[in-house]
Amino acid sequence: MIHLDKDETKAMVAVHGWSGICLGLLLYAVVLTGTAAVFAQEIGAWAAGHLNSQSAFEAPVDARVRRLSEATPAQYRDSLNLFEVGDHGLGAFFHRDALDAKGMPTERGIYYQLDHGGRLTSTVHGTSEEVFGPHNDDALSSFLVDTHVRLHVPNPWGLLLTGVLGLTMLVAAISGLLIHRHLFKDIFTLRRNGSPVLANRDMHSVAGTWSLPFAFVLAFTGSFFSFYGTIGVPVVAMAAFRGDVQALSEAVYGNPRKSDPRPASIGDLDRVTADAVRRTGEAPTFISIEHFGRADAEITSYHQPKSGDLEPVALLYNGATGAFERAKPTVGTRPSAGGTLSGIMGPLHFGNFAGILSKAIWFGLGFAMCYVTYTGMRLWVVRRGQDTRALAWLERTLTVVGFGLPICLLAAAAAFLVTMPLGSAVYWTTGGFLIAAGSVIATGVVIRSNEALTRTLKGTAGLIMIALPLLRLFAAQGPGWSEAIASGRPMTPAIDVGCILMGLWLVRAGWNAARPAHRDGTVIGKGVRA
Amino acid sequence: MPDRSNTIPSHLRFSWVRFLLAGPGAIAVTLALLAGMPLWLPAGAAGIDNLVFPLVLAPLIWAALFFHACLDRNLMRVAVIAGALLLVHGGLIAARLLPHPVAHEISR
Amino acid sequence: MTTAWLALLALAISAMLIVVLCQGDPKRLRAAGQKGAAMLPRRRRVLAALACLPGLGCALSGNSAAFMLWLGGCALVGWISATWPRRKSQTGTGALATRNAP
Repeated sequence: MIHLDKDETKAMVAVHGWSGICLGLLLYAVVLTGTAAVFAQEIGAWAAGHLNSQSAFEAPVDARVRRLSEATPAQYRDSLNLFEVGDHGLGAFFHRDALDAKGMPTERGIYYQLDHGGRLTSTVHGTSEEVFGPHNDDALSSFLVDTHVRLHVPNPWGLLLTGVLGLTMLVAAISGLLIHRHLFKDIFTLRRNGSPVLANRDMHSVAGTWSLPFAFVLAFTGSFFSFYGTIGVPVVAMAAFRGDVQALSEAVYGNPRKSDPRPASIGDLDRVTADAVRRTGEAPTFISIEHFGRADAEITSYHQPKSGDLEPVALLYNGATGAFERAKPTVGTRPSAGGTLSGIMGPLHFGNFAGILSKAIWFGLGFAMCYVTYTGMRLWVVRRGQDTRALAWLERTLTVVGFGLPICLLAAAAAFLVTMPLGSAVYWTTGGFLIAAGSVIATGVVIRSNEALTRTLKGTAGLIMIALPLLRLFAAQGPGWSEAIASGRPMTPAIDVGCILMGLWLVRAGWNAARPAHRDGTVIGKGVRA
Repeated sequence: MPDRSNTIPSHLRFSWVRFLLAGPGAIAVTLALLAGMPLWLPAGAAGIDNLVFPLVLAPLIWAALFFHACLDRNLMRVAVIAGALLLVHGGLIAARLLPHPVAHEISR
Repeated sequence: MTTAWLALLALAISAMLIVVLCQGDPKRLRAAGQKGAAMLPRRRRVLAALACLPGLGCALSGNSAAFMLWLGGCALVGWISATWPRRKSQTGTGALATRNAP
């Protein structure tokens, strides 16, 4: 495909192999949780038993916002963010710009959470980093997303870590392309019955070749998101605005307008949301109000991309009158190459630009990339396993992480379902994950062989998956299938069916592998079929 | 005493240089480009392209520098290109951030 | 036509061609011990070019979302068709690879 000479190929093989094996386990964790996080919203709704299908912005919000603003001290009424939360409830964050304890720009204010009926369920004071933590009914989706975004490492180190992993994946994708001499000739070749090294190599290269464009896109967009706030913005602000991050933010996202601090009541938000729905065909995902309560107030309504587009839509309204002013890009005041480029980074990474279809395809591609990462590490171990038995511990570690991490995530889901009705889901979702992790590691240490470990972990994952719908129905007292479908939530039974089918497949795979007819003499070769 | 340096393959003799250029070197040059590119890139229709393009393309800039350092046989060329990028953009940043000497003369 | 339907139609056309390419892949068949059934290179190039046309159509129609859905869908179809287990009658005695790993 791309012909490098011998030394260059050796260098690229070393780069590809060492970048993969040094950071492969962490990369696998990020990719696996990212795959699950594609459906974080749907998983959260499934687990918490959400039944409302009408957007919070399609219900009256104006009266609710006015009531909240009267209860909010004037110092925090500079800006307001509105978004959906929980079972199509409303989140409202009244805030002003501030500096945190380290002198970094942040937002400080009061965050209100209302249910779908408009009843206040939560009030939290603090900065944006403090108020937007997990709640009892979204603990599972928050856990999934947080694991993917920063591996639960405190910021900025967590973001830097996942950013480095994104660059690792980028390096692996590019070096993999460079070292594979016959990319298209080998694209369908899978020699399962060959030597373990050959079989693993084919599995790795076939999956890697087909998912290569997306590995590149996801690695690039992922590392952008991780480094954007931690390094990118401070560095660009330092050079272009002498360190003024707020000025950079205003230049990129702001709507320049003549200042008019005279007090003015905010425009009718119900008219604004109705107009926004009429223009775009769907409810807003986010509404931002700047200079709340002033004559120069501005309302920006953000929406999913229009059919056929990748870039999200933003509509600008006069805050005092509620009159529509214009459609604007999400970045910049008018359409531009830079605005479009940054605007599509989110949809390309999250796969949420075309509803369930795009999410399903992105989920499948994420699974392919988990497979590439796992088989790549297996290939490294299998190659060296023929020379020395000392790497048996590494093979086990790979199995523990490869099959154990999904078990831990499933255990977290099970813990959430059991403890959500008790109000302790935030603690026990993480607790369930950690207990499962300890159990998987202990099993990996004591069990007699890697094959037995693989069978056990597959079977365990399968049993937990089969149990999840039952826990959802009986422990979490979630809605039945007919109730969910009648409420416009078909994903609830769909996820139940998916769990049961996948669970049965895993249990069957583990059972079949345990039968004597499937045993063979080679230790590492057996792991190939894992 | 026999001279042993000629018996060591060239790609091993200079591997630490290549490691430095591909590792810390690529990071340093990327950061310099990230800070310096907004100062010369065109602003575009919305006046933000010079700010957004370096932010978005930073991972690709790093990857280009990394692979150039890994693959180019001529280490001197790698060092010259990286050094030139670092100096030019470092100079632009310094010119932007340091107080202008003429202003001090006028103020007297 | 909505984005989803356009993408699914384009994907269905390309998917059929990808599966045909997979079934006739010479190296895959050689590994399975079925050398005689391989597709000629010229025919493979034509089919590969035809498989790209639906995506090109999506892109030229300005529907970037459909193009991305088509691209991602083709990647999944290609991977699944390559890894789909062959029926026992399709595997031959030449399936065992004997050369050492590179």
